[in-house]
Amino acid sequence: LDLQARELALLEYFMRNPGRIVSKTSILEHVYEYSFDPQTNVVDVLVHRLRNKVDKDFEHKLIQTVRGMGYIFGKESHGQA
Amino acid sequence: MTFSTKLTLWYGFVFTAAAAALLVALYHLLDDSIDKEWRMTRSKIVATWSGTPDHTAREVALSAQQAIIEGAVPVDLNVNSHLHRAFYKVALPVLLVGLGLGAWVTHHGLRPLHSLSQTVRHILATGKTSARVPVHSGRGELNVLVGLFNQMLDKNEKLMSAMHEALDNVAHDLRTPMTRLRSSAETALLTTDNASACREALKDCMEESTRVLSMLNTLMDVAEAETGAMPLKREDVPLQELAGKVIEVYELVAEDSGVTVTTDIPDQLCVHADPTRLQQVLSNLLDNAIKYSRKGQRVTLAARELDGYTEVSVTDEGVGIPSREQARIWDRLYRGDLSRSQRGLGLGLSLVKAIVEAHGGSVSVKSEVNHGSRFTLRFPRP
Repeated sequence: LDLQARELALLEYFMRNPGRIVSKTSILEHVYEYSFDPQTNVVDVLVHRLRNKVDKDFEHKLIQTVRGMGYIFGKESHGQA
Repeated sequence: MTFSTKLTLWYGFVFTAAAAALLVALYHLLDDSIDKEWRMTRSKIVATWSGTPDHTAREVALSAQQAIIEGAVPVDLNVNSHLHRAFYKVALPVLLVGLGLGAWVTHHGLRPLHSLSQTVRHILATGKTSARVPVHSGRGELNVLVGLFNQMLDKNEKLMSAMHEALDNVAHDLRTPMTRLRSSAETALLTTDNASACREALKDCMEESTRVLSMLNTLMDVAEAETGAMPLKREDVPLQELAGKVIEVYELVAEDSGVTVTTDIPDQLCVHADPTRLQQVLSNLLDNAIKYSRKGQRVTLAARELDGYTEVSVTDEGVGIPSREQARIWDRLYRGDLSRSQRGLGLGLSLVKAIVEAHGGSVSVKSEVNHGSRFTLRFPRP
C-alpha cells in the first residue's frame, strides 16, 4: 500500500477510532492541526483519496460516510452510506 | 440666563464701550479748540460782568463793534446735571444702539446653532434620519460644526442601512436551510414504519443544522472582529512557514483541480499577528483562489516588506471578478454571480476583511474577468 503522509495520518486516525463516527472538523484537527471550521472540501478530497487506495478493490468497504456527521471506520455496512 | 441673552448683553456692552471710546477719542481730537475748564451754558448774556467767584464769564470772541461774552460756570458746580444731560443725550442712545447691534450680531452669529437644534429636534420627534441641517454661507466655526454634524448624520445613516441590509441578508439566508430543516424533521416524525427513511431524514437535519451553525459561528466571528472584541494573540509569525502549512492543507484539493500553488516569500519575513487567525485568512483566500482557477493555472502566495508594513498577497489566474461586483465582495453574505453555484456561505471574504482590519491592516482586490484576481493584505509593522 503506497500512502502519502496525510493519507497515512488519516488512516492512523481512523484506526485509532474504530467503529466510531469521526467528524470532518475532528479530522481537520488531527490530520492538519487545523483548529477552526473552514468551509472547505479538504477533508472530502483526502478521504476520497484514501478510499481509492484502501477500499477500491474490495467488496467490504472499511470507510463509510455517515451523512451529516462524518465518517466511520471498520464497521459492517448497514447500507447507510 | 440663556446663552444668546448673555451673548447679546456681551455684544451690547462691547458695542457701547466701542462707541464711548470713539466719542472720547473724537472729544480729544477736538481738544485743541475747546477749553475744557469751561462748559457752555444755555443762555448767552451779553456784557454782564458779575465778578463773583461762582459765576465768572469770559470773552470768547471779539468783533470790531462789540464783545460777545459767554456766561459759563465751572464744571464742578453743576457737574451732576451736566452728566445727566450728557447721559440722556449721548450715553443712552449709544447704549440702546449697542444693545440692538449686539442682538443683531448674536442672532446672526447663532443662526447655525438654532438650525442645528431645530434639526435635531425634528429627527428626535419624527425619527427621520434623512433630515440635514441647512447650511448657511460663511466659514465660521459654527458653519464648520454644522458641516461636520451633517457628515456624522450621513455616516450614521449609512451604518444603519448597512446594518439593516446585513440583518435582512441573514434572515434571508437562514430561512432556506431552516425551512429544509423543518420539513426534514417533519418527515422524520411522520415516518413511523420505516426506520432507514427516518434516519435519512435525520441526516438531512444534521447537514442543514451544521450549515446553519457554521454560518452563525462565522457571522459572530465577523462581528467580534469588527467590534474589536476578538481576542488576538499576536506574535511574530514567520510567513514562509505559515504559508507552507496552509498550502499543505490544500495540496490535495489543488492537485485534484490541476492547479499549481507556489510561494514567493523572502526568508525570515515575519508579520505581527495572531497565527491562528492569519492562517484562517490565508486559508480562505487560497480556498477561493483554487476554487475559481481552472486546470493548469497557477496560484501564488507572495509576501514582501514595504515601507512601514508587510504585504501578503494571493494571486490567481482564474475567472476573475467583474468590476461591478468588486466593491461588494467584502460584504457579509454577498455572493457574486459565479459564487452562487459554489459551495460556501458568502462569508469568507468578510471574515478576511474583519480579521485583517482587527489587526490594524487593510485589504484590497485587483481583478479582471478571465485574467485572475489578486487579493492584497497589508499589516502595519509594530
